[in-house]
Amino acid sequence: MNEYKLTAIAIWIILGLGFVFLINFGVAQVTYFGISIILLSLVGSVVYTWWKTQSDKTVDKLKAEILLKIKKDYADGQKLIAEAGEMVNVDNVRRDLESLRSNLINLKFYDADFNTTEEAKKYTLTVIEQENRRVEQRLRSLEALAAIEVKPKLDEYIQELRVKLDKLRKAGYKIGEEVENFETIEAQESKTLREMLEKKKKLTEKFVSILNKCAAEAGEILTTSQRYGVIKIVEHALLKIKTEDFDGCVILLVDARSRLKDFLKDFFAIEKNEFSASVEGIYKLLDGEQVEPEKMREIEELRSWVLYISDPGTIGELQDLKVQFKNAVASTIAELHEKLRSLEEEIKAYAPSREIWTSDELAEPLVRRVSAEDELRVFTRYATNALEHIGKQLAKDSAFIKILKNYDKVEQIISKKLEGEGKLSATALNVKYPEKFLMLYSKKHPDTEYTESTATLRVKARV
Amino acid sequence: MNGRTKWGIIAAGEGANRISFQYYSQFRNPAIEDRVLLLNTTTADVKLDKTFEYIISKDAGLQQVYEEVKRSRICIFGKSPSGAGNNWKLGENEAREDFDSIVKYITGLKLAERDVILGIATLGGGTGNGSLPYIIHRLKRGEDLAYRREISYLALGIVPYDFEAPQRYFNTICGLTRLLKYGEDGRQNADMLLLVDNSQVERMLKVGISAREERYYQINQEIIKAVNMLIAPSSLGAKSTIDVADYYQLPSNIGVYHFTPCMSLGNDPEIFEIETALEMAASNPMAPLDLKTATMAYIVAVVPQKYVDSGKFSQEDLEAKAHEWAVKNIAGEWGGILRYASLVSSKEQETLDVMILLGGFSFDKILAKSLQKYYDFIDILRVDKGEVELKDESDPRIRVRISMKDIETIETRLKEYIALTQEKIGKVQEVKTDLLEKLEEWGFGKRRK
Repeated sequence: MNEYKLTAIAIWIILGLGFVFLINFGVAQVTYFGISIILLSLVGSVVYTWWKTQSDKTVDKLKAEILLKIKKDYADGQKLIAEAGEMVNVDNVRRDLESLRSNLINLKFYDADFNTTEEAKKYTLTVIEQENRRVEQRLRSLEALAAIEVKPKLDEYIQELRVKLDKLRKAGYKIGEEVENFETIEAQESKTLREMLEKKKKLTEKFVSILNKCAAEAGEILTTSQRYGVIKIVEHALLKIKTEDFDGCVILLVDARSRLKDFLKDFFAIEKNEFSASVEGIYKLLDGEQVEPEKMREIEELRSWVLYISDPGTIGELQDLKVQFKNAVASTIAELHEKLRSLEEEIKAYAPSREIWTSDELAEPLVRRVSAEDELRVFTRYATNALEHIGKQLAKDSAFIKILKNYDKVEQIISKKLEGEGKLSATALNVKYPEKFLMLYSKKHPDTEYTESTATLRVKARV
Repeated sequence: MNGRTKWGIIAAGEGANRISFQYYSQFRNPAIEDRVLLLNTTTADVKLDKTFEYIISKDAGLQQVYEEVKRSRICIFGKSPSGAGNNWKLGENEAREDFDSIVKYITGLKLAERDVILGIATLGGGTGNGSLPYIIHRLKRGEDLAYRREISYLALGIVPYDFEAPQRYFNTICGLTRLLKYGEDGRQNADMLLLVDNSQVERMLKVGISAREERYYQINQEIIKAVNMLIAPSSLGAKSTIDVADYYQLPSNIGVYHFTPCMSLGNDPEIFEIETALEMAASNPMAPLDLKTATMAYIVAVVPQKYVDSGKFSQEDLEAKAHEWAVKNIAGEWGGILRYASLVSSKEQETLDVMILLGGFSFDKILAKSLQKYYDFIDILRVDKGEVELKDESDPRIRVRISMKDIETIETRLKEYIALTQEKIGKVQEVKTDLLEKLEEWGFGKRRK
């Protein structure tokens, strides 16, 4: 309507302008004006017609897109409800979904195969858009109806998986971390049908991966146990495992673990006792003042592990711990030996009398005998010998270097105390290791003599 | 420090400047932090580079500290073109003339009531020895500083080397006396005077054969450690606090308030017992003295925390050992008339450090070397109309007149102080109180002797 009004107004304006030109400029000028107006009108008409065609095309395109969207939404909803149908009975929802489809076909939006029809183009864009919204709402309510049915079933499904996980864990499988991941997924919020079905999918995948891990673990224990004998029944059971059958798979895995545990029980007890005895014996010999804190921590951690593990199925881990323990102890011994050597070098710099101190000869061969490649029993014997000796020697030399370092100060005290009575007993010298200080003093001062039996230093009588 | 006593150091003169710079660049006692002020006369600014040259040479990073000190921690006072030239009177006059600017710098230390000013000066020189007694007197008696009466004024005087010339000892006697007593009325000046003898510390450290600068460095290091030990009993780790007032209140009441630290540092706690550390400290006094004349002793032991936790060292044990040691070694049958002991535990420290701060001892050993040189110097002075003119031979611009009356006053005051000290020592050494008689007086009835 507006188009007509505008055209009429334009014609009246043009005619008005033509009349004004005619009055003022004459016929010749008005002719030019008229020709120009005609040409402009022609160009304008062409442009307008082209624009109008394009605009109509856009509306058709939009209609097609909305129809396609309705179809896609329906297909998605249908798929979700079909998935829900695998868990619970959603026939009533399915019926409503079917009636929604029939209604769209009746409206001639789609044909029997649910493809867009030519008749649909006859509807205005507004009508199609309104139908789109209605379908969306309807699909949402149908999904919500299905979700109400699915929720308890999903909870039940999760509970069943948890029971199975618990059985696997109790059987001894090391799946703590995996169960935590499972619980993280479980804790995720799921309100819509889509979220619920997504959660179920993820939990199922996680559960399957846990089953695979357990199967691998059982396989490893089986391999380790083959050192002690053959248990064909477990071997066959593991081959039968199919992770699609959750119930069967869990039963097989629990049974395999239990059989392996029974089979390894006695072997494990023997090895653990031997290992514990070795760890405790060696640990007692480690002096926190001598061993580097980092090394001490490493050995303490290993010791805690040995005390902690009690499942015969972890016999393989026990073997690994033995290797780690032997390596840690061997390197500790090497470090202590190095410490002893540098301490001896430090002492030698003071050139103490051989009557008071001699360097150690025994440590070297004792340390050479310690090898982490040896059997635990052999290793423990040699390591104990080396640690006992080096520990004692280090304590002795550490004390001696302190004596040497502090000698100058103590020497002054001794000299002062000797000035009075000409003798000094170890008890009257208020320092640690008084005998050693007095002995050292007597070696440095030939005019004095130290009597070990009475622990007394005295000035020699002048002849 | 959160409410704890703050200490500020005022170091007057080149020698004291060196000690303070050494502290500032290498130590940071939480009680002192950066409250250090270096005072010097006008020539000092051109000599500063040389003064600190050796300390800076120990660590390249100290050049920056030096620049910082030069910028904000040094107060140059006086108008003399060539400084005090080892003339204490000139040092005193310069400080008097420029006292306002000195006070401005001291105010900048931001000390408040109950805080401490520790003044340091070498007694043989002119600038510090001349100015410090005057500054302490003015701060204590004047109106220049807020809370002046609540502030404690401690002085550390450093006695020159044995080999130094008589004029240095003239300065020493004058400076020592003026730190003890000052003003028209000759009242107590510093609340406490700590004495350190350069030659004594040198012998103690066995650094006599080192180069001169290294000797100074080592001696100063020891002096700084003594100051740290002095502050330690008021730190958080102290099992029994010795507050700064404990150091000087009773000695001031008695009228004898000179002290000297005896130290034994860096002892291995695994080897040494407290008794031994005390013995070693007592054999290392920082000024020559006869132990048996000491009437007061403050004993400070700083030990690693772990040994306190393990029970190896305890406050009770320290007190018992300190008592035992004092009875055996210092004046009187009770082990002096005043004794405190404080065990300080430290997480940072690995050694057992002990300081015995001995006080009230006889001056005879310190004055033995000083008096002879003092009189030798006085004897050659030309007295003109009751005054003598002191001048620096190397710089004729430095000259000042001192009246003989002033010198006599100084001598009299020192003699009085010495007489009082000796009297107290005598009384402590011979406790003659008749207890039976006293008990009767107290109403316990007649008792048989």
